[in-house]
Amino acid sequence: MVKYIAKKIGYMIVTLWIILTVTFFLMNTMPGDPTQSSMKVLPEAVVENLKARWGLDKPVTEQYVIYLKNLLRGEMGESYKTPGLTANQVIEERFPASLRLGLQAVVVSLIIGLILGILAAFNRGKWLDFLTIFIAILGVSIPSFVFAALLQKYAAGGFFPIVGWAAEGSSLIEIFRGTALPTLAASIGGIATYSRFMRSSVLDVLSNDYILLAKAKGLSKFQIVTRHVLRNAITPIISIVAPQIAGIVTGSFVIERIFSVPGLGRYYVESVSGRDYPLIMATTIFFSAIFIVCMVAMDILYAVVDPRIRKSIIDGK
Amino acid sequence: MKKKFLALVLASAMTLSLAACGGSGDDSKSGTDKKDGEKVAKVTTVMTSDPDTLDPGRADDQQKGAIVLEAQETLVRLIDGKLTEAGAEKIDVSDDGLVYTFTLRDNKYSDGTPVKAQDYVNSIRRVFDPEVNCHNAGIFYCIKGGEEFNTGAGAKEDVAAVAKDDKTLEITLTEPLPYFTQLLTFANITPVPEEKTQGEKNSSYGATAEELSQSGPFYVAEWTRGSKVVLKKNPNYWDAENVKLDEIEMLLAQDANTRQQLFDQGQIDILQGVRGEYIETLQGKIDAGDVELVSGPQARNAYICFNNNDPEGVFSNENIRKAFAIAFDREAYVKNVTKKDKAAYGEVPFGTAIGTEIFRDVYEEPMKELLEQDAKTLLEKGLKEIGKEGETLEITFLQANADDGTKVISEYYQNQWQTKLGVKVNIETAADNSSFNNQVSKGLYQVCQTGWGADYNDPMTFMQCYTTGDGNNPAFFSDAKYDELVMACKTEQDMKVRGEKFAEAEKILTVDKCGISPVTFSFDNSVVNKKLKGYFINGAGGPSIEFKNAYIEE
Repeated sequence: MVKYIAKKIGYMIVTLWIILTVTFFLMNTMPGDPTQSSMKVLPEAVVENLKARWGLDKPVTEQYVIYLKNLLRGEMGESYKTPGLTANQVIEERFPASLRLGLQAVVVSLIIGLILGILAAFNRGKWLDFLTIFIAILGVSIPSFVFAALLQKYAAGGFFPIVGWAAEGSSLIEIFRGTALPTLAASIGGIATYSRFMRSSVLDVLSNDYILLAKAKGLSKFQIVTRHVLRNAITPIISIVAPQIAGIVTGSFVIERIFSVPGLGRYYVESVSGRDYPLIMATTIFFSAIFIVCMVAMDILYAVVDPRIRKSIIDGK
Repeated sequence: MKKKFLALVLASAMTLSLAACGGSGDDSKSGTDKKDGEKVAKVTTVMTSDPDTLDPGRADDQQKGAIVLEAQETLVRLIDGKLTEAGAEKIDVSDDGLVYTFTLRDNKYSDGTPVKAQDYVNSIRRVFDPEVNCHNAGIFYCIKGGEEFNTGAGAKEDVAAVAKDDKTLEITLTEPLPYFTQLLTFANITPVPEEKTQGEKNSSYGATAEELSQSGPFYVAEWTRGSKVVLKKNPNYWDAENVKLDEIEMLLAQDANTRQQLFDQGQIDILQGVRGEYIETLQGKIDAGDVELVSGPQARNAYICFNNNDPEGVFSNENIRKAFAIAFDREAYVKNVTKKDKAAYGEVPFGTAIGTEIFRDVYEEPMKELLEQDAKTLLEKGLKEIGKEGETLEITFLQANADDGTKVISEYYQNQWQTKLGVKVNIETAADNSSFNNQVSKGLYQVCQTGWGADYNDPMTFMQCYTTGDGNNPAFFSDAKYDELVMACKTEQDMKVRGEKFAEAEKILTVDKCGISPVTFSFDNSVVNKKLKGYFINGAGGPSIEFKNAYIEE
């Protein structure tokens, strides 16, 4: 098992290295450079000076080696747009908000989605089932930004502010006030996905013989659900949750923009259009790392949840 | 289920309570609140972008300018749009127009330390300092020694801004620029004590609000990156008795729809740059007098930029340029496509001043007569001149990005030219604005739409770009007579003579040679809470909204 995990982490590092290398060279082949990100054209001598200061006058391969060396020391460079602000600081300051929004959204969508899915499966063909399908279709087809705008129009303005994220360390009620609507907006897609998956997964499990056996043994419905149905039905969900967690923690740029959440998503997008090289690299590496970690965690979680997989890993190695 | 249910209940309860009290009574709402028995006059507004720094030296866009200019004192301030002595109480200009001597007022920073002439000197040096990387440096090259320091050929001590004593500042120019005082409304030239910008701090000053020395009517009391800026009245400001607001809160709202929601629900008092569709939804409130609609020109234009050095040899021809300029219905464009702004028939926008007058009030837009000519005839003539007589011309229009708004504009150009001129127009899309700027500045395009906003309030800001070899001349326009006229305006002191020269140059640029062809002049529509009074919306120079004398009417 340890060997299995070590191997996974090894792959993870190689993947990250490939991503950062490809990004580095792609970034440098993009037309335009950091001195041209605004409409105003700077005098040539000024451009030369800036390039020399940022090390952009050196050949790209040399820049790459320098970058790797700094990265190994844990330094991801200073923003070109905001001197004094390092990429590390940007991530430290901005990631907590993105993480909170992402995790809250995942938790809310998991709770609501799974419960809806289970209820729908047990009430197959009844109104609750149709309601779930209806919510799922709405959730999949309405983009989150439309839902966000609707929430702003109809739910915000009173207790919930239109914009105004609660800073870390605020009271619980403040955090609820500031984060409820963005969280709800970000979780609508997840609710739809999970409820649909959970419904079909539960239906699948219910048709198995061991459920019939459990019923025959005289177990209560509650015991059947918690001991036999859930455990088996949740495994396929894990495989969709991991990439979704990564996606929602890193990709809520639109929600962040609409609700003015001081998250990292903005830097992910704006650093590219502003050609802020250190920030492009930092956000890409960071988000890739999260994504890969989630995938590895998913593999490990599989082994934990499903004894069959655990056994095959131990036997196979 | 329970949680969702709870959220829904809460949400509907909120909606109901909101409807009941008409959107008022919330603690974050602007206006006057009772606090410890004292009234707090507070205005709430929005930021459309998240400022990356509040260093005056780096305040080179409108959003940063809007904050820094409230928190800092310029030597002169635009009060109701007029240049007024502010940080300086007296300005003496030498007879040759080269030496400006400023006598400073007894102003203090928000922490109580006095503002000294040396602090202005430091800020002027920092404008040119390569470490600071101020994007406006080029505008101030008129200050002696500035260009040399900025390009690495000189030292900061050679920048000709000198503190004669704590209260006297002397600036020497390279040429007697008649509009130099206009440049002093820039946020870049506001006092920064030298001890705050030593070593590493030189480039990173302004990354937090705590380290700022603030000399303006307000000071930044709170700055939460990615969220908001709170300005409070500066009690040590020299003119504090005339500052009536206690607080200005600026909420970050990058999304236009979010901003409208904020205004709809009364959470902000003023919203600039609103579109026609939104104004229609507010018409009821405007008619009832609850909301005031303020429209005014912004010194900004958009134009068809022909590559006068067209690699394909098409737009290097004057007659072809004219044909394309004429075959474009500007009135229909503003009415149906952009749904804002006004059609332009000249280069210098409304709202640009020349001396004490507005340029466009005195000098008529020159392009109307050109547009009466027959486009097709001109095109045929031009095609003959470039040896493509009888051929169907195929050209490429470069668009800046693939945004919906941009696409609609490009397709309008395509449609106009294809139907009116019978040419084939291909649309090429740049990856994003940055690659667009790169491609255009290198001349790797045929024709595109771009624009220019005033850096300062004088026609020069719009005319200088198109002189031969200027770095901001994307059209690569070059004309000896034009250069001569514009350059003469750099030193000519008589505003009437300058105006005539500018008008003549404008005609060369847009009519005689048709190097570029203006399409629109910007008009800004703002909606304002009726209780807010005494503010001023600036068209060019100064903060976009001046709050120094603003107040809340009960």
